[in-house]
Amino acid sequence: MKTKILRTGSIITAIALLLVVVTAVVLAGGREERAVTLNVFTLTGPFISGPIERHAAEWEEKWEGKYEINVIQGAFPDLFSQVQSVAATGSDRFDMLLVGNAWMADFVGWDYIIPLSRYVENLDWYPDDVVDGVVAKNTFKGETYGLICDNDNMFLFYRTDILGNEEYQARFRDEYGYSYNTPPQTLKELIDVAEFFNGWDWSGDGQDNVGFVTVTRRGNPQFMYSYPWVAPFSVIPHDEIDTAGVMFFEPETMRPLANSPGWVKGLELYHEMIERGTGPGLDWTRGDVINEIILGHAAMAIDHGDIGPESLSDASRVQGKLGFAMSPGSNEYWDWRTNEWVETEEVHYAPAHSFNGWSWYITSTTEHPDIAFDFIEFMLSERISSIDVAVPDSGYQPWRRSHADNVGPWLDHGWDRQSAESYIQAVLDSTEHPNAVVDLRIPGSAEYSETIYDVSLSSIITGSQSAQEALDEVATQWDALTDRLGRDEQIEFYHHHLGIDD
Amino acid sequence: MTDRSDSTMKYIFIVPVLAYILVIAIFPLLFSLFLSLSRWTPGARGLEFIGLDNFRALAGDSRFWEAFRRTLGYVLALIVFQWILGTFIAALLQKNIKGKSIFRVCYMFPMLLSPIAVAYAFKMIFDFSRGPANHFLRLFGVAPVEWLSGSTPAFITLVIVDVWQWTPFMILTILAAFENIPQQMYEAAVVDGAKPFRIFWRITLPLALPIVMTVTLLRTIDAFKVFDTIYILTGGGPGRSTELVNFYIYLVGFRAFNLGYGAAMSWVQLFLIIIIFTYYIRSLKRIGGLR
Amino acid sequence: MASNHHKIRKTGRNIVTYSFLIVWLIFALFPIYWVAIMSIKDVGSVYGTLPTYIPYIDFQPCFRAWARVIGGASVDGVRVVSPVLGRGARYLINSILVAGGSSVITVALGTLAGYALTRFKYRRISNDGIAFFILSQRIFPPVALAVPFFILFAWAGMVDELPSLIIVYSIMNMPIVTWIVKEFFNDIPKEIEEAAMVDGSSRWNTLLKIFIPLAIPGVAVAFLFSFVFAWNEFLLALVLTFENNTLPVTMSGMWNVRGPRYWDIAANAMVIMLPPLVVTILANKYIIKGLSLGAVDGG
Repeated sequence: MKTKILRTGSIITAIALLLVVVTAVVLAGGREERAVTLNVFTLTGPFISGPIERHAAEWEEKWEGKYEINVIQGAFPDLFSQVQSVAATGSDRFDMLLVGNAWMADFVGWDYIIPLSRYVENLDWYPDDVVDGVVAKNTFKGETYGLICDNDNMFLFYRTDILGNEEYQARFRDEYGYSYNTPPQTLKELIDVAEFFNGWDWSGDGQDNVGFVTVTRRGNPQFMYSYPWVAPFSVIPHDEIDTAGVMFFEPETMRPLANSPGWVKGLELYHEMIERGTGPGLDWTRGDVINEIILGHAAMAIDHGDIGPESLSDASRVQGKLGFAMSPGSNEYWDWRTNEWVETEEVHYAPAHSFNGWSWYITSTTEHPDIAFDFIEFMLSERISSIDVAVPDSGYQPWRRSHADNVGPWLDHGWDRQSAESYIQAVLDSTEHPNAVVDLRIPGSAEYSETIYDVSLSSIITGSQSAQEALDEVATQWDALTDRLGRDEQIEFYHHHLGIDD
Repeated sequence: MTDRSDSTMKYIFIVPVLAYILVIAIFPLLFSLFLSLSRWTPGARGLEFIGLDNFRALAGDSRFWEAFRRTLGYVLALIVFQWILGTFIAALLQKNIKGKSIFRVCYMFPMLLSPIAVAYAFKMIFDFSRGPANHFLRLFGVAPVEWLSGSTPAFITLVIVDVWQWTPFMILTILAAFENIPQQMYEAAVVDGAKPFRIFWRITLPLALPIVMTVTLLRTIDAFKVFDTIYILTGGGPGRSTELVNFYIYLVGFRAFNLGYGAAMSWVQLFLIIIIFTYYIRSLKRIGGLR
Repeated sequence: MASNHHKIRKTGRNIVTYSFLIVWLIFALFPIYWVAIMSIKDVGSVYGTLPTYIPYIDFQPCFRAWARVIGGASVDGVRVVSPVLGRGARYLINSILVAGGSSVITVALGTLAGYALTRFKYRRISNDGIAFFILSQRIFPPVALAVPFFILFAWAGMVDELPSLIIVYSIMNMPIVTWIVKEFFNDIPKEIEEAAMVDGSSRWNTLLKIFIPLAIPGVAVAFLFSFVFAWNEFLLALVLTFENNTLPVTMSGMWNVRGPRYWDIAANAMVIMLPPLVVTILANKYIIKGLSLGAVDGG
């Protein structure tokens, strides 16, 4: 018995030592390879990083093996923090990043990324073919710092067959005293429609269905799902103000708008939606949102674009049955300059670009910025990118005008023409909307949103705190954070973010 | 029985360990102490020495103190449940049971599994509408529980996960302690006609107590460090109801890179834990634990 | 000794005993079972209205998640391999190297310390003091040390290299290993060694000939624990590595932007849980001995 244990122990030890030696040899041997490796840090696959791995070989061939691409993957919750610790310690681990556009200001603040303007100037397609909303998101301090390859914003997904059902429309009219628009135009209308379709079997599959799905788990990240509810009530229309899309702070003072009546109203409605229009449980993750829609259990959702491509998967039961539209608006907004509510005659839309999209950056620590840009240019080229945005598993949403003209690749990947066109249109419309809110790009963005706001939002959703109470806390903590990071610097960054020239 | 050569040997044996720990562990320790007195902003500003500002801010940070109280509650709940369940099941297993080894092996499984995998498993089990936990409750006509999204249930869920994973450790160690009690101790009692329950209470438990308490100490130390299950299961939510100190430190120190503040919190937590342990160990020594 | 009356009471007690044990057995095994069947479900059964429990009876199993684990699936002609075995099983190999390497260091040093603490008396700093110092390495929360370690390794150019994890884990597991071997050695009767030494055997000789053979089960168990803890560790690996991940980090990354795909996660979880399960089954006797914190009665 003892000898047996001895043997097991020594075998384990021997194997371990052997493996150590083998890797040491492999590592040492690998050191003298000819090709220069460019490291790209991005998300764990298959989404976002998948296309890089799919196309890298072609690019490497072009360089005849002189350069090669190595994809380093991180999980979403810690993607930002990992870049942060690398940047802070001056490590040269990464040559390129394909990470959140919303983090651009942090990177600029740390001097961790280089401006790409001098490269972009030579791209003849850039000024004409990239939609303005994306150009704005690529730009900071008047320079191009990042290049978006996946254009994120929140818009509405709805079941055209269910919302368009005349019998249901008639029943709704009887119950609520008015006819809903297809798709619903205001958030209040959206709640009514969601409530109407909540908790009964409208699909005829023997299961009760839900009206609306959203993410309600802290840190998943749920805060992105709340912005479409806040924006219409707290953004001043573009024709009333010089700088459009102001939602987070007053530009001159950095006074948080988070506890302004606009935010409070938006989140009260969000909470109301969760109580009236969704199923019970409150533990939904993004996977639940996507799957409930594509399995035909839910009628509507406001989400990033991914539901569209997922609706083509084998498991999907809603192929061709989804409508795509601008995230609903409001009939009033809070003017933070005059501190009063303003009613609007037409619906006031303000789509939110939660997260803004996945964006290429070149780090300041790379020794090969030109080569790195060559790779980025290759990935963004019309030929490659028009395929990537159409591939369901890429996780990329369209961002070039030519993506709308060229639906060929979309049809190849299972879309029908009408769905594809309306999907691309919904993405580009939300991007181009003059009231659109670009997700916060100032240093500490992740701390403002995830560490502080997300937590209070969670309290609002579960009803353990009133919206006002929770948002007052947010405002206090945002102020404290701004002071810690330096109010004057933050104001300057915020102006850069909004594109205000001082 | 020791001779001269022993005195050199005894240093040859202990110095490598102490030196290794000192060399490797002392830098991070000192560095975190230094960090707690400074502020590190990535980029141009870099590292600034700010004295006791972090600690001053900490004193007024209700989120930290809330998290600390919550952690104490969590640890206490775990230890009590694991102690009671561990002792109870060990007492049952101590008897002449058929299939004892099968029980023991199966009971052993949970504690050696990856907490990340375990957390995913419980994430699926406690899913509100698709999880077996609520399905099970429904069989008994109990209303479904918001296991992961209600403030109190989410906290209880975390306790259940840890009880599932680490009660086995208590069962097996306590069982071993019970079985290690010399048979003669019982024989006298049996001759006296004492009832089994009385024997357990008067002989088994007191004799095993030193080991039981030592094991409890080890569990307590580890219980403070819970992180993986929170990371996967609740993310600290809903609200802050499952945000324990370590998770908060992680959010502040790593996610937000407010390293100095994170380090300050770690030291305060450490200080408080050591105070608690000192009392605990003192009472342990009194009953003969920690040989 | 047993009258009829006694027998009935005894049977009654037995039934109670067994039912408690079986309830706990189900509780202990159910989550593992749940992961196992989750790995053979498809999205339709996972997101059905009611949970389903038995393959072929209440749901049709689907082995696509497993196909992805072993690399038998493809998308657009590109082979898809789930993370645990992806990239040429790189993460799996990393996990084995890190867990194995750190355990070798820990057990070597921990055994020395365990022997020293049970066989010698230290006057300047008492034995208890030393033991407490070693134990104290486990009290400080890893979350507080993670970033300082990161900075240390960044300076040494060792970030994202396996040796950094090996070093950190060897420190992290030192206390538990030292304690297991110490408790173990405590109960190896000193009289045998002392008798040998009285007979003129040197301490080295006694150590090699008498002590080590008796100590091997304890050391093996300590190795096992150290291995499993390193195998499972998540937080430090998350902070200290990017590319050279170990399996728990890889697994946590499976909760991707389109939400957790439970069937894939479950299949991967089975892979990561398998080694500890196998180890438990094969070595259960020795683990129990190790857990007895030294309760070896000569056998």
